[in-house]
Amino acid sequence: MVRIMDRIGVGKILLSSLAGLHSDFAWGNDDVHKAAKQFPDRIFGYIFVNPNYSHGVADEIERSRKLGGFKGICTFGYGFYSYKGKKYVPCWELSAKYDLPILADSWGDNAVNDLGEIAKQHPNAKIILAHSGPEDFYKNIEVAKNNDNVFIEISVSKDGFSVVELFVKHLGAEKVLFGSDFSFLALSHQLGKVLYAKISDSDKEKILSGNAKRLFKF
Amino acid sequence: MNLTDKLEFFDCNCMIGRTGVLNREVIHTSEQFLQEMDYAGIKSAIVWHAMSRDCDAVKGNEILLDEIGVSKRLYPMFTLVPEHTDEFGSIGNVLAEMKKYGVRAVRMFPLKHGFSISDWNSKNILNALEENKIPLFINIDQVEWTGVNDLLSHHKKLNVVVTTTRYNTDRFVYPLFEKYENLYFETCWYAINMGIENIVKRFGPKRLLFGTNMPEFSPGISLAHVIYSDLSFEEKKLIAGDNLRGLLCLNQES
Repeated sequence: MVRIMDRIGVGKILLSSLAGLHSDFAWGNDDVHKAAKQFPDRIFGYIFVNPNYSHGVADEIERSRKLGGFKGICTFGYGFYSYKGKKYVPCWELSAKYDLPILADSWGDNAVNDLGEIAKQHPNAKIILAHSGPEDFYKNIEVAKNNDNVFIEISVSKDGFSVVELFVKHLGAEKVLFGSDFSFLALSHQLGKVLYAKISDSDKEKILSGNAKRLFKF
Repeated sequence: MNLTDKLEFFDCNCMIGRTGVLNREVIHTSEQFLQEMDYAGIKSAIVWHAMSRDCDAVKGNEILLDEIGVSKRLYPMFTLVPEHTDEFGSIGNVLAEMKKYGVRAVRMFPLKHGFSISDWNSKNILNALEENKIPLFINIDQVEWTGVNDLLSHHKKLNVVVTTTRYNTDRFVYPLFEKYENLYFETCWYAINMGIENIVKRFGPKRLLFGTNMPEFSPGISLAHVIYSDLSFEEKKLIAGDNLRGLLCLNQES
């Protein structure tokens, strides 16, 4: 991954684990910790939480923080467990307590609206709507616009025409974060949507790095 | 001359014309397309018309020719259906029409237009395309990979370009690439990490075609995917446009 980052010109990456999503959250977080330890200036981790397990949220956040190398939390709707469920509450609380922004998968029934409500209930938690656009982008825009602590992340394999321009137009570049889903998707593919977007260079700089530096305190 | 210009991008997958169903307004005229191409650095594109898919293939093809006029940068692609319901008259008629207007490629929508791409249904039209060296473009959502295999197995000299394939297709595509030299693959949604590089490593650079899927997608992802790929300049240039020029029997000035 770092070789590809070097070739393309990506300095830092915030990483979550596919294994954490699809299989074992703790194994996945351990794997991310190892990567962050190996490349301490290049790779940083998101702590994957899974509310289907009793130790899958608060305990896992504390455990992973102690391991080190993590700068955020990653959540997934898990289809059968709503973001609004009680088991997720420690996630929002600890996010605010430790200033760990949350990268929240925003697809699925009502996920965006639910995250909007959670953002209001937990104004000190920073919530990033992962994989925003091209399907429900007006909903994402509405929620991000109405909540200072909600941001947009744009990695989607299926692009949408002028979606980045629309996000910037409605929200301002400060609310939009570059993401790639690398190393699942190609960095080169996802970078193109920002590099070629019809926005100013300074807006591109914000999306590609400035906003992440600010949110994650680099 | 910058790298984009040197690569001479030729978009093999884009549509002009309004569609009825869309979630926001996007470009649809040839003028808008040329502006977008200018901005992105795309030299040429082969385009089909939305009406030929969504309403009437014959009418859509006519409107396409009117819309692109005598553009030197936009090449027409006709949508065809098998001859059974007589929309085009005879296959000979439609081929003559295509030759008259310089139409060098065809797209088909079996799922949308209610037919099968298998020989029992489409043999005559496919034979005609094969004999006349006219490549067939087909979206993967219109035909499953099994259908692609079936098509290629019966038409080994028909160049088939499968478009808008998703990232999770390697296990389908690799064995097809091994078996059939006449299969090509367009890259707009093939976003898998190192996907393009792995295909080139294993099968060479001539099987991949640059395409944007405009106006559904922005062109930037497809452009950057080629420009930033870990390939040689020559390999990138083939994928960017020279492979398509070869399929369309165009010279290098196109």
